Amino acid sequence: MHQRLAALLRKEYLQFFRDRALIYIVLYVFTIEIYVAGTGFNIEVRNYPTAVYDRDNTQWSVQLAEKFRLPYFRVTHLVHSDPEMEALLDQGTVSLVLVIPYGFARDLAEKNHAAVQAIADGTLSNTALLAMGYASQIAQEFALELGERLGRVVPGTEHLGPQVQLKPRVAYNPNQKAEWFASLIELFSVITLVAILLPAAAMVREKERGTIEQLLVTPITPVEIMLAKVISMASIVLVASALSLFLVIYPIFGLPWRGNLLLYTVATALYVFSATGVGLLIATVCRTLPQTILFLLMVIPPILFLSGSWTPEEALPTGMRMVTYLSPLKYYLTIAYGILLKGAGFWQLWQHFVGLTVLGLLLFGFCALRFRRYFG
Amino acid sequence: MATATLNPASPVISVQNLSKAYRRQPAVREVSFELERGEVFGLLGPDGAGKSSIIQMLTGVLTKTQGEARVAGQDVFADPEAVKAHIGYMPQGLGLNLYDSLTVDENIDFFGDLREVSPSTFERNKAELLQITRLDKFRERPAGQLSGGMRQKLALCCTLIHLPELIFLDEPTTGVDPISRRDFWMIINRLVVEQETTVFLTTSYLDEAERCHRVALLHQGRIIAQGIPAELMSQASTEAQGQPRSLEEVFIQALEPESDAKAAPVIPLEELAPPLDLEDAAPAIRVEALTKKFGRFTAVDQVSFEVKTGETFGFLGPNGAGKTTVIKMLTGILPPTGGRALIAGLELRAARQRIKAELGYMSQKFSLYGDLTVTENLRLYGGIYRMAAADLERRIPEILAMADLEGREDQFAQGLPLGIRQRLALGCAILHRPRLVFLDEPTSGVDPRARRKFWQIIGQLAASGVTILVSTHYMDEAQHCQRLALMHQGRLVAVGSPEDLRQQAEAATGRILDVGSPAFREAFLLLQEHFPQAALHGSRIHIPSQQPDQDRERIQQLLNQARLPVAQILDSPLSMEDTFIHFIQAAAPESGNDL
Repeated sequence: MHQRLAALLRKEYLQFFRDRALIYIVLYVFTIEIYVAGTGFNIEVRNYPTAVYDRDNTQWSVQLAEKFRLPYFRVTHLVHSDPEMEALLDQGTVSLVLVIPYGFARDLAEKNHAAVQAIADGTLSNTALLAMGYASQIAQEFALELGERLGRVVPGTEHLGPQVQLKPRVAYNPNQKAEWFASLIELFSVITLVAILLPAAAMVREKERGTIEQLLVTPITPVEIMLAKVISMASIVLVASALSLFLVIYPIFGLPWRGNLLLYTVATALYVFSATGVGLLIATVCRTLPQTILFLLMVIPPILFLSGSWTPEEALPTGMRMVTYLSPLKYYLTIAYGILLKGAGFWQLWQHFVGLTVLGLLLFGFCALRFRRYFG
Repeated sequence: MATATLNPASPVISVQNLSKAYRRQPAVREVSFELERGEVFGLLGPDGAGKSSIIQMLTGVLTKTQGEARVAGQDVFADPEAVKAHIGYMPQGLGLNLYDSLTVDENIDFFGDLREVSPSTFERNKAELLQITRLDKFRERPAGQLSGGMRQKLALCCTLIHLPELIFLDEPTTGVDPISRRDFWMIINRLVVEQETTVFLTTSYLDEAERCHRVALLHQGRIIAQGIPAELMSQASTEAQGQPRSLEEVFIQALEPESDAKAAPVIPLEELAPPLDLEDAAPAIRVEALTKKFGRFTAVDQVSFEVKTGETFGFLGPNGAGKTTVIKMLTGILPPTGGRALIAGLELRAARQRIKAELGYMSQKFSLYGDLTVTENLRLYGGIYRMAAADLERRIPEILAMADLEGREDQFAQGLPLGIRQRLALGCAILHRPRLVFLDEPTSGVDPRARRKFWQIIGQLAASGVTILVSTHYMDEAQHCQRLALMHQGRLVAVGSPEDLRQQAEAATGRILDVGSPAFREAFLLLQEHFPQAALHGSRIHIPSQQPDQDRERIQQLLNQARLPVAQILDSPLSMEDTFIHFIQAAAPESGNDL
């Protein structure tokens, strides 16, 4: 058993390291792609292209409009008609239009109450929502300032009205650095993709070239063939993910050193093994490499979407939430975030470890069964 | 329309110093030849010799790198479209020009429309072609549901529907069953005799050369010999290893000067065991009513046979006959649908793991790791069979010497020429000294020299007591086997030694009278009226005969009366192909129609 497995493993590594193109792709996705995702992914409101449609044209309206400024809003256009405004929004030249209606200053002076309108381009809904929030905050601050200046709010009497003040403190990522989140999420996605793709491709290639038949006539058991693929490909993915963590995420994005890296490695190994199981399962179904790639395109998105990486699972409908328990990525995400960002230890995460292990074993057992049936 | 008939004096095809290179890789190197009107010209060579490249250049499909080619009086490269009106072209592969979802009728109609054949001519040609190919009973059947041989015949009908003056056929008979092959040649010869059609064809079967008037042997893009087959064979010296005069010999001798290949005094593989007495030997393989069905299709139908220990047993049959399926069941890759197989006395299903260690297997297509080197491949299999390190170190040089791979240890398997790659595959299969070796079409597409070398190795293995089961679609390889199983459409039609089989067939159908005449066309038309089974083989007429002496006189008489010259009438033994045809027809008398 050992000698046969060793011979197979040697073959797998030789083949991988001879495939220049494959090596470049793996290196690329684990380094440059992580870097690009970390720097390029941003849902914050910065330099938000804005137009102002000031129909009031009074001192106060101009003062309000001036509050919309960098770094959040960049006012590029002053519009003077409805069609002009619509055209700007339609073309996507601006994403937000601040409309100050005629009679704004008068209403403020007489009724102590006035309305302005903000029209946002909702195509990028997250950012639009954030921008709207900022806009309403600006409007309120403006009103407060104005009140103080006009003496309508007597200083020192704010406490007379009921007030609740939120003092936010964001834990684990106090500056809410998007690159930590974005680069880690990308790393986990890349691990998922590569750990499924590599063994699937290696296996299907043996089918395409007919080498699998040659192996099956020898005393090798199907499970040995499977193990050789799993061990070789999983170890490659593990090494590549370490490269990415230590060459990109820690040094470039300044992720703080928290948590036990050994524990993280164990979790990653567990996860990668279950993912290679998924890859080999796919290989039992597909006959050619193009088929395998198409199949992967079908399998990967649900694994990513149902893991809680993009959508908090609590926000999902109940049925979908149950399905997320089948995605190994869900357990791995909780564990990896827990260790890397929160510095959590095994005892805080043990349930997720159990979940990951059980799911991994199930996948593996199923895969071994299919291998026996298909190649036995 | 360019219907101007060709000037009979000038050659139909004239090629001078034609070359073709892909990127910088030369595929065809300075070939020159000419074809006269009414000639059947064969381009013979192994896979990758450049046959298809030449045919594609002559049909205006491919551009040239250098040289001249005139086809039907036109410069092909200057005006390929003008040439296309004169020719019919059948590409390589079994019926690749057909539309699978169209019926036999619809396919022919489509090609008729494509060629703008006038309705009256079309109906006449179609009826005639369908009748000769015996496809007229299957007119409503979709092409996708025809057997390989039938597909190939239909493809030929489609190519010939406009009765072109010049026909190009790219490996038309590779892997085709002998009966379809015979029908196929019947159509070709009929056109040649009746219409003076010119035929240019390629083949990798050297024994098919005798069907051609003239041949050229192609090797690595070069023509190494050219001429009338009989003359080529008589020129080849016959001293070498007592081999009979054959085109294979011509091919190998033509190669010798430019190659450093030694006359191959092969190194003994191991201490050769004394040849076994096969009569008493225990069966290495016993197969009883083995059957394999894929859905509704029966690939292997109740096959039973026995292979004795130490025997070289051949499976002979066309593509799709079920050879590979039998081997896959015996090696445990495919589970049988029915029947049973015993290997070395052990039930295959029960003792698979134990049997596997004793087996060597070489699959049909090259199935080693192309991205590993020669030694790495060998070491991989050494590890898989758990050979001790010291043993492996001793064994690898042995295998390298046997397979003539010395000096290539560190080359990647994918870069090796086909013949050498096959030897490496054999080396991997026998590295662990199995007692039983399965070889599935090991020599398919390999050049004659590499093929001979391969069979020498097999001979050595057999001499050392290894049992060998080998499949092939080359009729001329039958002589290398001690016993043969002839396979056709999933069934064994005969089992026995090549000589026994031939004698049985001769007893039933008679020997062949081989008539040579300078006026072979007229002679053939005349003799056909009296001997309906007469067939044209190149410029010779073959007539099966139960009473050779009487028939010989009758033939002489007939030809003399018609004042046709007779060069000679030879009495020759039945070929393996004729033997095969006899057994197919004997196994299922009506099956002659259902091919």
